[in-house]
Amino acid sequence: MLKYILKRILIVPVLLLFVAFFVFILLNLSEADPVLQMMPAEYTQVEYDAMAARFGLDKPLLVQFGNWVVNAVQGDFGISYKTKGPVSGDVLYRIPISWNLALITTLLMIVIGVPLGALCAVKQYSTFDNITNVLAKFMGSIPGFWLGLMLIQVFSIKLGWFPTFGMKGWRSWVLPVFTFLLPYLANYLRQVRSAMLDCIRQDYVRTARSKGAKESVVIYRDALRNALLPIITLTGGIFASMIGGAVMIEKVFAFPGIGYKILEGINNRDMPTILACTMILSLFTIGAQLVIDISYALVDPRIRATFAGKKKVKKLDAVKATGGGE
Amino acid sequence: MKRKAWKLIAGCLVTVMIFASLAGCANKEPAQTSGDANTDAVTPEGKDAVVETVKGGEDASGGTTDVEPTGIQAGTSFRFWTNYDLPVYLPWIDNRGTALCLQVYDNLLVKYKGNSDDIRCNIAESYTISEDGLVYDFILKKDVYFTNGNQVTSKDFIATWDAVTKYQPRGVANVKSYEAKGDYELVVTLNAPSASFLYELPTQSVYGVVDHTLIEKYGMEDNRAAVGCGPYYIESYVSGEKFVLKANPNYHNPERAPHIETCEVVIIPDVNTAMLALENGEIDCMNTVNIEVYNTLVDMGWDIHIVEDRVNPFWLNVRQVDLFKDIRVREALAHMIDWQAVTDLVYDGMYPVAGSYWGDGVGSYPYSDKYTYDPQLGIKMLQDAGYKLEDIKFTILADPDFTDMEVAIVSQLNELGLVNVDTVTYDGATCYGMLKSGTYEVFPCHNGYGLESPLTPFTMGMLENGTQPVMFLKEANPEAFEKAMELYNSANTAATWDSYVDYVSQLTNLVQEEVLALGGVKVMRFFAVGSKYKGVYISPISGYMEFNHLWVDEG
Amino acid sequence: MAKTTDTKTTGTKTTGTKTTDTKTTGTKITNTKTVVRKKTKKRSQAAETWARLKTQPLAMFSLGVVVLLVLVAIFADVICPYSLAIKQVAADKLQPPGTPGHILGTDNFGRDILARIIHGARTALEIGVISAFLSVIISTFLASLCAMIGGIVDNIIMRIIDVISCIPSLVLALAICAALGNGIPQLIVALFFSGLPMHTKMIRSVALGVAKMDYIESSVALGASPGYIMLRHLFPNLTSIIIINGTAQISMNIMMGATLGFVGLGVKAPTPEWGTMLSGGLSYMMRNQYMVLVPGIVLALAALFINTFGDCLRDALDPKLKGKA
Repeated sequence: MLKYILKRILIVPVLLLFVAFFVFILLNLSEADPVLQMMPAEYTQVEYDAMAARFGLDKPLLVQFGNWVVNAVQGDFGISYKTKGPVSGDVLYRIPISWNLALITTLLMIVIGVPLGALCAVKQYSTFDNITNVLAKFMGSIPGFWLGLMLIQVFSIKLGWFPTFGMKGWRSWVLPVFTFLLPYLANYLRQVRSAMLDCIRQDYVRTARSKGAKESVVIYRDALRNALLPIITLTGGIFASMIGGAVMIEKVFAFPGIGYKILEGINNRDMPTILACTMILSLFTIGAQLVIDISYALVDPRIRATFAGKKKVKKLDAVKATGGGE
Repeated sequence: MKRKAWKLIAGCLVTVMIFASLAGCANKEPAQTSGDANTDAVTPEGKDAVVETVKGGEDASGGTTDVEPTGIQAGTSFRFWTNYDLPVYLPWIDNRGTALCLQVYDNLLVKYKGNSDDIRCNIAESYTISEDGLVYDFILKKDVYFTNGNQVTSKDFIATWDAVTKYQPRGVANVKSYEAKGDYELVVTLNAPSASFLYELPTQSVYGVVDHTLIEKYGMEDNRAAVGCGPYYIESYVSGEKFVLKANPNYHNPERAPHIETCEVVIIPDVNTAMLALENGEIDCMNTVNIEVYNTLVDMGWDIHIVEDRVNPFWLNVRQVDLFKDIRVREALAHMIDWQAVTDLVYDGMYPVAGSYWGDGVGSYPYSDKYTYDPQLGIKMLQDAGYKLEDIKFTILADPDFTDMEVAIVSQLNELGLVNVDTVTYDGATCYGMLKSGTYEVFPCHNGYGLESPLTPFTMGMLENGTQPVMFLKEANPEAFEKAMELYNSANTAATWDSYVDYVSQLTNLVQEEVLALGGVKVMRFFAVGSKYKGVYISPISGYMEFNHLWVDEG
Repeated sequence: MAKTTDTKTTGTKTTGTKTTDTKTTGTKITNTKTVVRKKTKKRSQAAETWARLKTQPLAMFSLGVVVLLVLVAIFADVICPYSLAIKQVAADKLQPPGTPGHILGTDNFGRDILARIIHGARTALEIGVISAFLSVIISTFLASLCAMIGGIVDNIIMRIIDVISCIPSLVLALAICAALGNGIPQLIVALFFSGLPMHTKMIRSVALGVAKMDYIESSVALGASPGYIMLRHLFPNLTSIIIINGTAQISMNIMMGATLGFVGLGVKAPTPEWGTMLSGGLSYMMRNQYMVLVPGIVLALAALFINTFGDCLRDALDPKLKGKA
């Protein structure tokens, strides 16, 4: 088991390295010369070379990448082409904002999504289920940036309940969180419902029912508890994708989060910023995946078995062979 | 089962309608069209003020006769909108933040209330210019202090100029040397006499003075060194959110002393959100070049200050596109665009058609008849030159702010039979990058501040190493280029302003005669400012608002 | 209603289900076998699916909308000429819906919004369908390779997919668009890449389950070539997940295309496209709200019905989910 966890953790830097390389190459496909972008109106070749050297852009691509990696490992993500300031501080400052936005949204999503999804599964094909289903699908079909602006018009301008933008206390979070929540909730609800349905159909639920247990007890003790594992997996994945997925929300509501920073970086062709943001987002994605996988491995005996000692595996194989070969 | 499903479909349609009506009721009752916004030009003091005010709605407040107060008005605040962040706000690093730099940093001279021809002494008590026009001798005031308490001396100027030389060499290209004579005297020697030097010097973004002890301590790229002696100082900066500026109580120049206690520069990336924030009273000022935002603001009842911005001629890439090497093609194309129709369609006629590459400011020269609209003549010229209309194939590169204009132009050309003309929009920064690397065919580009320093367009556009190499005169016509370079050098070394301007207009005419660009319109910038704020001065062309002149009318 | 006889047609789901199957009693296994036999008869599966779909009015209604959308996209030029969608008439600028000659009004260039919606359907489907098709087909191919050959090939492919999937899909699409520039082909490439990792992972897990089925193992034992097995046995068993993933991806791509249009990375300017119509109309939301409402509602409805149809199709293809609890 320890070996499995260790293996999974060791692979993280390798993955990050490849992600960085992939993005690095991708960004270099663009035709624009970053040095030219930074040069003042009149310059000489000497000045051009000096500027290129200052940003390390005079070296071959692979060397540039190598240097970037060496610096990044030490926490230095380079100097922004646009602002000419260090990238690290500016990007790191934004992590908590995106993190909080994702966290609040996820919590709300769980609080609303799980009971609703479970209820839909229990009352499958009832009017309630169907209406929720259609509503969810409809919510999932509205572009976030559009919804955001419409909500501002209604709740900020017409009703004056919330500020239109920025971060001014808890009220500022209501609209962005809500706008962000809707499409995710729509999908989440349906996934929770199908996870519940899977569990409701399992033998042990049927057994519990046939033993005459109360329906509510069956649902909440047997079905929901067993559905929790897939639901947790799902939630973890969504949380990771949310941290980087709030690009439009952050733009519309002027939230200085990491998603908007990356958009700004892309618009300015500011490679150090894009790389730094992508790396941080990837780290979150990988981290969430890691936590999910490890907790799964801790819970699921089948995965645990694969990484147990060789002897155990052999034994298990033998068991499988006798069990499966009827 | 069937009935249930139909109910469902009905239900979902109802949801759609609810949403539609929700979104619909978010809007105000259809307000009057922009037509009945009465336009009355209010000319603030100063001869060259191009600020025009449109009163929105009915509450057009009668001209109050209140006078500018003296001293800081306690408890007042002003929130200014910007759509980009400025992580490093030292003057020489990033010159996008000039509105901010104007307030935080101060300089030897100042363009009073944004007027180019009203240049006054600021930190300099007086200055003298040698007879050959090469040596400038500035005597500094002795009672100027940075907001951290240190006194401003010539050492600070030397340190600042060192930084400028490193980061913005263009700004000091003509400066041979600068040295301190004691603590309160500064001597600047130029390479050649320059009439424009005095006009460029008050550019805070380049020359705003910074405390030298801090530069020595923190280096030239650290915000901790960002301490100036301007009317405001930066109290706090929250990355991606806002700058909070506080009035400097010890500001040295009573002519420019601040009145409003707190100014915030608020960062909202999306213009639509900014519009809603303004409507909701969360910001006090926004500016835009978008005509629909302007119309909406007028409908909402805002007073709009209209400021002239730059002209954006559509430059043809003569260097790399073979098609444009033929002057007959260039000329024919210039005849084929109806700019008046473009501005009527896209800008409600608010953007005037440009009369020259630089509008009608200093150093400009009106277009010759090579630029008059005559599509049939254009087609005939193309055919005479042996081109089929399908042969004319190019892509216009567009900045998002002006996509609509490009779409309109492409549509006009397509209708005339040039079916292979199209346009593509890139982000502004990308366009700029493509411009420098020359990977474009046609691009609308302003080429600097014609009115403020008339030669800048040529510096930026004509020279081999210019930032925005768009005037490919050398490739278009080498003889004309030589002549142009002569004029350019003569202008650069002109001793008097008048002869300088004369050379520049000759140069403009020469470039225009070669049809290196297609006409263009003059961009207007619309400023909506809360009606309780008085003393709104916005410098034309650059569009910078000076917070220090603002004051709140409590009545 | 709840406890009717449960015809449990498991069979080709996930590895998880499969292992439970092998551990259960003999009757279950015979059940599985009959299913497998059924699946080999392709016609009956399609017919069965259709029969199941037909009983659901919601499915038929959304199918109708989808078919209508496709027809509009195909015959856009017949319904109204393309020139109407891009022709600028200054005199007709910003006419509200209901104006004679312009049922849905005109935009800020005086272009007919209905014509733009109709031709925008073509653009939307072009972007949505081609990129979804590409990502599903290529990921099926990759997943089959993984499942059939396994070992080092599986490892390499999955590690590459892992790397791509580390980057949030929206960010990836933004970066690709930024690197390649504006235009429909670039947009398709971006959306293709952003959909690829998820599909490959999902299809691979199903394909691995199928590849371990008895009949595939036996045909391997009989010496059939991997290519033959892939075509004959693997792909037919993957059709349902391909269709399910594909339809879901189409509506996702349309939405993401709109989002990219909002930040100026969408299609080239005069081309009618719902997302850019929507984002271009945003500054008109106070005075001419129909400019944002019309494309917004069309976009939302299209995504909604494609999604709904996809769900119904999934239920019909995979009756296990439909089994009543």
